[in-house]
Amino acid sequence: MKKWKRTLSGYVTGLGIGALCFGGLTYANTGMMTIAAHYANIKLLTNGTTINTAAQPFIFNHNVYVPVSTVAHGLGASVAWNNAKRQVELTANPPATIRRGNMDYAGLPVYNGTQTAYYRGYPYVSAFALATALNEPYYVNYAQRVAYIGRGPSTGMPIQAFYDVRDYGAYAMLHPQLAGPTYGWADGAPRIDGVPYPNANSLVWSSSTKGGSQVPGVEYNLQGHYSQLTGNFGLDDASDGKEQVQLTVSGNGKQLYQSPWMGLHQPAAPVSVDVSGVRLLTIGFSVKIGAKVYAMGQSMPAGYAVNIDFANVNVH
Amino acid sequence: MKPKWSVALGVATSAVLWAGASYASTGVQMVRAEFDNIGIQLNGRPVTVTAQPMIYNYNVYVPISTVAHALGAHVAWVNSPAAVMVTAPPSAQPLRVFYNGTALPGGVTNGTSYADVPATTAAYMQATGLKTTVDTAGNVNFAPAAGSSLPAGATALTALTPSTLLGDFANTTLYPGGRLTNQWPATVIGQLYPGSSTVEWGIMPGQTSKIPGLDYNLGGRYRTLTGLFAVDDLSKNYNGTVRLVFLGDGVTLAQTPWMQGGSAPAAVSVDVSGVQNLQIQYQVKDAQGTVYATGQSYVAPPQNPDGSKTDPIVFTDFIDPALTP
Repeated sequence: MKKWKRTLSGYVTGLGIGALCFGGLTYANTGMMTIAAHYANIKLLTNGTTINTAAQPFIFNHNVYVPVSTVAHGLGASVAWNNAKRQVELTANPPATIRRGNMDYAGLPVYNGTQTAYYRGYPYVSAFALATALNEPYYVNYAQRVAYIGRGPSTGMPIQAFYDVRDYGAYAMLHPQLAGPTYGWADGAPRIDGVPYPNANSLVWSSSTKGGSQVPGVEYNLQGHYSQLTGNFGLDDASDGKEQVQLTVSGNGKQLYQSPWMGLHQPAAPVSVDVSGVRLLTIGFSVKIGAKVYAMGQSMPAGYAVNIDFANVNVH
Repeated sequence: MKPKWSVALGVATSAVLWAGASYASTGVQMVRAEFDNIGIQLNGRPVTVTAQPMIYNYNVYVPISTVAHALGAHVAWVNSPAAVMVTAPPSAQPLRVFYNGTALPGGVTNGTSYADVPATTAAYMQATGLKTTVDTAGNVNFAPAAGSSLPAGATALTALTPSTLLGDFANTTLYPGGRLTNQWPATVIGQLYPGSSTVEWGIMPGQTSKIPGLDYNLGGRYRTLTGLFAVDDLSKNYNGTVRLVFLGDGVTLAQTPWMQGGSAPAAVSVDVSGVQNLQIQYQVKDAQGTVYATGQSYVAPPQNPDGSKTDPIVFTDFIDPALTP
């Protein structure tokens, strides 16, 4: 296939003699014209995503022509047709300039790599960095373009928005990078008795069949600002079914809730716990094999595949 | 006057029209298009076009390079299969922001990798109590607007010169010039504390530490020693505990509880009335229950309880220790 390239002669041919820019200049030809359009199944991609356009791009006079609406939408610009002025009117936000710097607190470094956006002459600070400085949970919904610091939306604040002040058992061990709780399965969503749950705000854990796994738990700082913890607890369908699991929720060191012992293919236990006044919230798991209970922080024996789901956990 | 074509700009509309239209997907097709000095404006300003836009089949067609460049995008042509690749930094979109349920002035997001807010504005400072400053390189500083958290009339302990530095505090590699503070802000259960007068000490994996202590000649000039003592979040999962013991002229005046990670700081308030010589001694109780006191050596395990060889085994903050006359 021939590589099409814009050439100077192409411009000249396309524009007529001497008309190098538009802006009141008259083209050599106006009105209806029959032109030779080259079609070549030309795909249009913006930022790697194929734009499905019904009106196909074509090549005319060494230029690739596309419907303006298609490319404008692909680049996030809005487009309008001004019929009186016979012009296309694009409206687009310029991209922000992002610089990565240090986050300091009272003049001393906390972490590096915070993203500051410079947009239309003003600096914008990472909402996550601000939430960190405020010691508040942070949640952003990019699809809806809304960020929450502190209290969340009406559906509650997803549990992973909260800072884990202490980790227990397997959660205290280094994963590939950091110690901390695991939110969601890498190979799918939680599924309890055939019912799927959202991956993102689910606290999950899987034992190693080789043994030595420590039953996990995690402590969050709620600062006494919240009233209710909700979720669904059970044994994930991927478990071997040789064990039962239990969820214990404590506030300020005092037990607030304990689930029944949950077995394989048992419908998830709906969890709703009053956390009013709770500063430190502990979510701990236990595993029972036969009559033997392995509590949070204790090592499990080899030969068991237990997959725990505390699914769809939100704090209200 | 020639008839003006009406133009459909919506993608969906184009699709409907296309369903009824037929043209070759490859090869040359003779098509009737309208050239009518069609202009392009971006944000109210004319865009210089290098080849004429045209109207064909109810769509305005533009040379892709013209529009893409106007929108700050880069255009590349791929030969096989034929494709035009347009790459652009995603434009900034408005971001709504809620702080504990209250709407704050909106920010900007690209919808994927950043969500930034105008934290330097007065509205944010008022809502958050943080004075936020940004430099042109992207560095951000948050400062509590309240300023000093020392009691009125108090002197920061770190402003006094100790009569004796003990253990690690005497190690000038760890504490050059005997400077005990101003390295990091303390972080305890997520809460940041200004670090300008916080005494910091910790144990690194694989190192031999000497449990530290501090002696001060107070000369009976002060009544109360205050502050907060905590295990820093750097070592929140430490399985042992630490505490401070305060001695006045050789007599134990007070001690903090044994502190562990993931708990709120212990408030220190020690009566030092008439005390000439104040000793502040650190004690560490490891996971096995063995206690190490000031001056003793502690050979740290090669990794911390999380399995990290770089994060501290335990790190302590004596936050804002201050003497009130």
